[in-house]
Amino acid sequence: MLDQATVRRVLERALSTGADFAEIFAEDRENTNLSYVDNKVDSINQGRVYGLGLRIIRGFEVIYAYTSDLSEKNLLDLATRAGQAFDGKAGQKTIEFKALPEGKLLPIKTKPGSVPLKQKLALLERGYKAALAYDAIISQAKVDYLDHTQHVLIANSEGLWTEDTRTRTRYMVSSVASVHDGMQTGYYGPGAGQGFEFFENHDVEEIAREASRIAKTMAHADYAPAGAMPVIMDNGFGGVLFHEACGHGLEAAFVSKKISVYTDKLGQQVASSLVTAIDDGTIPNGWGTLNIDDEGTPTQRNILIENGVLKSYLVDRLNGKRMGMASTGSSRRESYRYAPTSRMNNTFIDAGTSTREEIIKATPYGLYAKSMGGGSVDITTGAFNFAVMEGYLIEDGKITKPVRGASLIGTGLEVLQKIDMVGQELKLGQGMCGAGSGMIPANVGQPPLRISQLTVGGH
Amino acid sequence: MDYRKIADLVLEKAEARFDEAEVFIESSEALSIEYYNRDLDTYEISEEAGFSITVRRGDLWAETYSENISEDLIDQMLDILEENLAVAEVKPNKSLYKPDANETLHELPSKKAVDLEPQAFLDICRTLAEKTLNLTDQVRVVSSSVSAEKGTTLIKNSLGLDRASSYGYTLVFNYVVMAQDDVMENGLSLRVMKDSDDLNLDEMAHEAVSKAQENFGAKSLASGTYKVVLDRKVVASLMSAFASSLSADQVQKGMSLLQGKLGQKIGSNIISLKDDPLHPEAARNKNFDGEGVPIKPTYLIRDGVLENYFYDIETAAKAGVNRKGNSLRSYKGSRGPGATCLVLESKTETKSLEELFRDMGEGFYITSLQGLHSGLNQVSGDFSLPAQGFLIKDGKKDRPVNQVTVAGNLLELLDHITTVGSDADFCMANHIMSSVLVDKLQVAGEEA
Repeated sequence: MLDQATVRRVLERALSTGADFAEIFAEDRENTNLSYVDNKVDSINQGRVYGLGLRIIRGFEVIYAYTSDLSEKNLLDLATRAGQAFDGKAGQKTIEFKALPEGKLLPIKTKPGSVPLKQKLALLERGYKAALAYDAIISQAKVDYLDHTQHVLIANSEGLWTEDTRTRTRYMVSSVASVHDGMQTGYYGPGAGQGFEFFENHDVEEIAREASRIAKTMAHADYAPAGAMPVIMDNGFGGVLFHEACGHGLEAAFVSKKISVYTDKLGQQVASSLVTAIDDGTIPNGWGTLNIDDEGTPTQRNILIENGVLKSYLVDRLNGKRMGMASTGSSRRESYRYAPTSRMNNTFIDAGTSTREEIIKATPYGLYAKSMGGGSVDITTGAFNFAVMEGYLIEDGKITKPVRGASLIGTGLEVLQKIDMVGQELKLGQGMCGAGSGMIPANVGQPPLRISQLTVGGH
Repeated sequence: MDYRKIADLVLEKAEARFDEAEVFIESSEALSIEYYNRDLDTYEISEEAGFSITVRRGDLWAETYSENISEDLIDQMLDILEENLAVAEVKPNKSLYKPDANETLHELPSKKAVDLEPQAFLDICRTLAEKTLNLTDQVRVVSSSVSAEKGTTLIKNSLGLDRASSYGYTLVFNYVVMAQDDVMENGLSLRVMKDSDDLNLDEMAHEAVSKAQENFGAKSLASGTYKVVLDRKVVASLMSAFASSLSADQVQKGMSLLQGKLGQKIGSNIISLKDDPLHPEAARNKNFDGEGVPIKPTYLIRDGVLENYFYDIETAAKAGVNRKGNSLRSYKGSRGPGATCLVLESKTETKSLEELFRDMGEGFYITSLQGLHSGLNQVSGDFSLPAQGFLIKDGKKDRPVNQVTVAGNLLELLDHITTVGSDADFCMANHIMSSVLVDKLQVAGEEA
């Protein structure tokens, strides 16, 4: 994208008013988004995201500037304008770049760009037909396919020079079930850090039937009861619980500013002793996996909580400097439009010892949340909420009937302490996480687990 | 960069290979500054630009975009379009916009980003943060920020459409986190800055602090059915979500709760909902839409009756109605009909927030709803959402409330609006909303 001589001149210009650190993040990304609705191709959207973000730091003051015009003249001009926010002089510094070796966590067999559109669209049609064929109650479905290939170049004034290619593929189905009193939806959307070989081990018909199964189940469901009760959350996307209730609060961006409820709690018991939680950016071909984070630091496996004790935060360079901690390879951004900050990669609660059956059997009355919708959290209070997409009532240790419209609310510290059974079968689910540095792909995950008491908002 | 030159070149090359073509270019520049307590936290300069090419051959259409605006890439993009056309579905209702010979556009309210040196914006943020910190030592965090943005849109096609517009606005935010006995609460004030000296920073500091302060001591409510007043900010976020159900595209795909309800009563007969992209209080105005069609204010709901969906060219042709100019579009290829600036109107006399409380007597004043993206089902209209606000007793604020959820259905909620507030003002997402009194809503909190 850019040669070392140009980048060196831009970084030196950026440092010319007294900054002690400068970094560029250049990106050239090809996106393909296809969607299929109403038995036909709804949209074909292909395009190119292209630009550069320049970050200049003096002490803890940060200037960020970005542009999609990568001509050297414009980049030097941008560096000049950005540098104007400082009023010092350049230190004596010559930048010598040292290139990092290429990462190996995201190997690709079939580049998405090498697959004809026709072949991708055929997958959508198959999924659509399977979704509709599942049951007569399914009145509509939307099938989405996406792939993207992002080439990045990250270089900084300390001599870092690193390039990476991130390829991801995802397939998503939303099914609509129509009944006399309205419509209910079901959704399933797996993805991975893979190319078109993703479909060698993902059956699109199966994905579609799963979405339709949820929609059909919910169409026949009564409203969930409201109130405080035990809640069993199943594995996979159920991990959104930890993601919202705790994960965001462990991000150094909030901890360093002391606005997270987890501030100053390292070494303390913050969860039930059954809880061990991990953020692992290195899972081969994972949806949230990166070889290097968006500051160029290699990713790693971070144990966040071990047997209930807080062990680590998710740390980026800048907030790490504020906190006196090293980066954990957790700095991420959606694109060149965002300054990077601490985020999650593949975050999950580790497997425990109970079986799903044991957990259900041990619950006289409660809610079984089989699959979850999205959620959100207020970092300052730790208050979270999320929607249950597919829920069931548990009575006398048995699943009795589907219930809809439930939402779960509580606070992170409280819910983690109340996890009283953790299952064996760990599974990850794919999501898009939105926060300060944009929307990024992230895995959530957990085994089935029980929260002894949680507020269920229903009707 | 000379965007007009690029547009002409793209059109020339595309017209040589396809029946018709359109080029759509957006560019913007912004400066955002944020003070975090007494430190500069964010200083961001941005330049964004991108363009899309749309082409037609027979009844087939294709579109692609790029942020890399260079002449060298144009041929490569036209090749992508060629591949797309080979697999495209026939779109008999789609067309480019051909302007009428003597068509005129509405005059736009004059508006631009406040033109100040970066230093002046830095001073505003620093002063606002300082004033806020000085109000009380309970302030744990203050974030004071300014965001000034300006941009242009250019659309040109083979049918003679050639329109350009520009916009600009400046927003000022003051966000505060306060602590009392280990409990933290937050508050926000927001202004659209119109010129260099119209900001009352003392007022903005006070407003954010008092909003956070009055939440201390919040607790749950007993579960039950309550009369509620929804603050205008809450109404704005609900209406933003509701707007997607009003899209003719969602309706035609069978994914809207308003399907088949045109001409029917869907809300209280005192309310009307209008989309007014020309509204003088909106941060951003438009006089032509994403497809170049002239814009005029449109009623979606009039006196409780669903009168219109949002239409773009394709959905209007499919429904057999006149073009409405509701196309929202970005060069990145997302397009569809939608809202620009929603305004709530009332057939009966509007009342101040205090009068709404008095009319309500006892009830729940909701100042915030969380989790709208997950807790509101766009297709069924069902919602179950965590809420915060105040218990109202004898027509006055009694105490703050949190840890409750409110549940219901959007259409039922619209039907139960009995009074609209007179506090209409600019809210996030560019809507001009008012508070409303609703005569019943289910609240789940503590066991009664």
